[in-house]
Amino acid sequence: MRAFDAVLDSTFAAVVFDWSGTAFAGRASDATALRERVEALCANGVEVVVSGTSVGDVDGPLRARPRGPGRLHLCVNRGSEVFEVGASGPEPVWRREGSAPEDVGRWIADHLASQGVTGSLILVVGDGRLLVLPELERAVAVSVGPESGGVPAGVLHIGGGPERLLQLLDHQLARHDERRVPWVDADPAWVLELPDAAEMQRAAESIGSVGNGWIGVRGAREEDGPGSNPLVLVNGAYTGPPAWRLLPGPVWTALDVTDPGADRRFLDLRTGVLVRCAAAPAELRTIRFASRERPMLTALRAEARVGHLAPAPVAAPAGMHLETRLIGDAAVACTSDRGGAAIVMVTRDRTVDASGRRMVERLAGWAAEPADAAGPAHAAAQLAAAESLGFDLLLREHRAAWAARWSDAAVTIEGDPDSQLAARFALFHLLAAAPEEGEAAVGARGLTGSAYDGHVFWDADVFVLPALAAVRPAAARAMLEYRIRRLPDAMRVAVEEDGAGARFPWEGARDGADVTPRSLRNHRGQLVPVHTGQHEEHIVADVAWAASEYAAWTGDTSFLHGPGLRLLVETARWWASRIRVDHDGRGHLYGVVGPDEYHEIVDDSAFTNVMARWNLRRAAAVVAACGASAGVGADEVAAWHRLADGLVDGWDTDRGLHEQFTGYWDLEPLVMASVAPPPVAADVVLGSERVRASQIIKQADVLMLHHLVPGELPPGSLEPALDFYEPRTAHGSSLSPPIHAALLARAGQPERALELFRMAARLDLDDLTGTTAGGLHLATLGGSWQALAGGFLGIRPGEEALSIDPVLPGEWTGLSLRFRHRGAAVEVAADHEAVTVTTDRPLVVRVAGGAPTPCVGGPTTIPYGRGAR
Amino acid sequence: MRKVLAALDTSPAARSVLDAAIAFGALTGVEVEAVHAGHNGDVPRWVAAQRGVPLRLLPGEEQASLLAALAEEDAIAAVFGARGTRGGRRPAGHTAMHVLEAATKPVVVVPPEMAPCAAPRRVLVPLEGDPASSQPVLERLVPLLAADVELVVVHVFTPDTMPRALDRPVRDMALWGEEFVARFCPSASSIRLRTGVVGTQIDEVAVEEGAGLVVLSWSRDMSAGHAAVIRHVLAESDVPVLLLPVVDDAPT
Repeated sequence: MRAFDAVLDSTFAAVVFDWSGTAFAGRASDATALRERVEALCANGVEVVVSGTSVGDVDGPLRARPRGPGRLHLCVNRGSEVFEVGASGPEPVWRREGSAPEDVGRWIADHLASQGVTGSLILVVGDGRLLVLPELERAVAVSVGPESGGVPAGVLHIGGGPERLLQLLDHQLARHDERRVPWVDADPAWVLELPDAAEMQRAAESIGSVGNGWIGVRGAREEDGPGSNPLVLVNGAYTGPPAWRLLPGPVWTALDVTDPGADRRFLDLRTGVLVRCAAAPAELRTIRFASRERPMLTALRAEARVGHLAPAPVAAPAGMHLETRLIGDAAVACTSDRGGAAIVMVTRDRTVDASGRRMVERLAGWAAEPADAAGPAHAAAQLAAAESLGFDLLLREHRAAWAARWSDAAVTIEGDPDSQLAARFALFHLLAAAPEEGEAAVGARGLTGSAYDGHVFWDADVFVLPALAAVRPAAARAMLEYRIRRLPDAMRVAVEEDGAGARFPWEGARDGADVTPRSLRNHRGQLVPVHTGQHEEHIVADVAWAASEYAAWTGDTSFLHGPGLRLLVETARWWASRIRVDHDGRGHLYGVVGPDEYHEIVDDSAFTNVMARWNLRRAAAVVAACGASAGVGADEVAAWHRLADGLVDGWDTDRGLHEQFTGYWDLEPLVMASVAPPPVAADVVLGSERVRASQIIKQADVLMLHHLVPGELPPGSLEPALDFYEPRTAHGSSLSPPIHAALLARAGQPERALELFRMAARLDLDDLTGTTAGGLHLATLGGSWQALAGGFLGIRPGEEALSIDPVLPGEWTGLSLRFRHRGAAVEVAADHEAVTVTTDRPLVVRVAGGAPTPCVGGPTTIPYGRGAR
Repeated sequence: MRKVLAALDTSPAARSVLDAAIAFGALTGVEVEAVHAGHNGDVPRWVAAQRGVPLRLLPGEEQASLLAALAEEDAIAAVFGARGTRGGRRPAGHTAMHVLEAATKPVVVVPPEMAPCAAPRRVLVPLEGDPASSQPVLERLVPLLAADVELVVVHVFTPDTMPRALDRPVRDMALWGEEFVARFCPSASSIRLRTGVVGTQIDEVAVEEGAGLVVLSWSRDMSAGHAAVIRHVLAESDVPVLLLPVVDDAPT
């Protein structure tokens, strides 16, 4: 009966059962007891689906009138109709249009999946076809019928008829009453087991972070322990001055766990929960999440054998003072900084002892100052609202909220489950990195670790934002809002630097000031200058590019002609004030740092100059589109055009290449094949001076232009640039592999592109850099999505058409992405011969440079490549 | 009572050996016992008397008797003088090398011209970045050390440990180092990262950091092609070198 024990040890989020025979013995029977259970389950947030002959057959005797939030659906008339039963009785919600009998199975699966309920979170109890619906094949299937004809494969036969069903439902209700720990659907396509090797402990905590954009919680074990780095961070809650860093919040996950033994931890990417289990003697289980529905709420539930688990006070983060007090029976904990930042949480533990187990439940309401001056009162209100729902309903709405996000962000890689899981991991943490309203300060490691103190780099604008603009536009808009609100500061800095327009900081934090350290002590203890803050000014154009890219994906003209225009204009003005025109009328930018930071403070960096040129031209184009309302004079726009046209870009006609910066051709012509196999920190291998004197580069630099602004470059220049620069690239930056993956795919080298994509997508999962302990590399995760979208699928957003140009590696039999394009929900699915586009509104696509193809509703399949011949 | 054995011979180095043993005893909080294997005990007796340390004369063949003394349950380590020539196959003295290769307990090798020293407050621990090399340090050294002793880790990058990417080099290198320490020597107070010839870098960092002791774990194989770093450090170090043998079972 071990399989039955597993049934009894699960809290199901949905129960699907047959009516006749399974739930109801016949007309002489009384369904009162079943009605009570069904209504109680729905009240606990459980979805209930009953399969029967007709509405009358089922609803007549059952007469359940659940008040939610779980819903009751009746699938009747041989699966051709579905009714939702509310307080006023059954209402039709779906009718089969075709003749395919499996449609009702798909409807049930889709309906539950839209709630984040899949696979082993579903209990199916029946005696016939319901048990073998292929759409529910991973559900837990139990037969209570006689099964005289044999038990279908994968079905647990326990018999007992309707009485046994009642017992099962009672058992489920008892689990809710006892606050037992619910689990996840153990779907290997969505569930990631955290590394358990001791040396990976802190990296695992980063990987297992859960977040909702506003708050992030590292995946440290509840009892903490040696080497652990539990950490709670809130988006935008920075200390300072003088040290600007994300303020660690109270460690709300602390529990006393005694002798837990070896454990396993799983991050469910589909529903955004982290679970943990350990076998005897403790039989520990925990589940935690940062509510996707309620940003300022976190929830934890744990259970273990009595004697192994107890609540513990909320802990202070390492090196921090924690203020604690009580408001009634609620515990208030607060960390703060003299600069005015504070993170406040209010929590109340609930403990239940039952059947030899102790269950501990902790809900926590949060607030952060100074953004939320109400502080404890606001956090307490968050908690009170959450407690009125209870853990089970909070989890229900959390699952549904994640399901809604995935419906616009799904990624499927056929033929490569490992890459698929890695891609979903990337998207999960991207979606968890930025809030969807207000402003989003997305630091280089998001809310998963303290590295870089949470500072905001170009990583956010160029690597993370494009992915979110496509899969969660509201989050991308919040990221832009972070820049918009700091535009006045950037304009002040521009004046201070004898320029005009807006000079955005290389590293940003709470206000608009540059918080890049001016010097740091290196690993030899020597004080070394840090030039990026003063010289890596391509950040100015990167911010403008992000605004433009957001507009391209969303078609949000109110943004582009409003705050986006201000970003474009003021950044263009910065470049106009920075360009120096020589006697020959050619423009130059002196003393800059490009993406390749092995070569600092150079003149006429091709990347910086071309991005500046693009910035000037793009601003001029948007001003022209806005007309007089832009408030920019024709003379100024004309000057931008002149400066853009005269700005040198390093293009070497003889070589057919861009010179990365003035003098680059004269450097020692080393290639990585003679140094060390990439990826490697070439500055460590060779020393920074030697590498600076060579053509070895850290990351995509000239090539980055081909990724960001290909329209600014000569046609056909990508392949020669790849041929020249790729062998010289150390990939000594985590930002480099995904961009090269995207470009290699565009250049028709999908197999090499796949190597680099895997390197990028697994960078943190394998802790390739040895620094994942400090948090996940969000830019690499964002770049990985860009490699899938812009690289392998060749997707480019556009006003007139969505461009698609797939180039898939042989190992992949298919690749599909869902995203938003100008308001339309789009799915692009490609194999090696055709593209299928599914959209919820009219959309024009152009596949492989062919003619525009209108897509209206439903799937539209367009052959390409071999498939087109 | 646990003790550290100071293996005194009749050379001028005997005083340095005893001083180093006294310093090691202070570092680890154990008593010092001077031992001498041989017939002429005048020098050891005089040196031990000067320092007020009891001397035990060991009967029998020199190397075997020293190993037997070290195998005694209360002996936690032995201190020997290095009398070998610099750069040779056996950089430490013949007796020391024999004991080194045979012993499963820690052995301290003292350079020949070492000045009198106080108990080291800073100990340099070169680590390769794998559990095998760090385990002896964690399990056999750290528990012995007094609380105020500062452990400084040095790691010299190899092709296997070279960082794959340093997005912001100084900060990422610091992060890399912190993680290295957390993984392989959590009780260390700091780490120094180097590139170059391993032995040379260890010597340089030992001087830079003012370390009073260098700790190396080793596999007790001094045959040709093995233990190049050990050989180099024993030959070149200006401070005592503590060798922690990698053993599978409890020490004998």
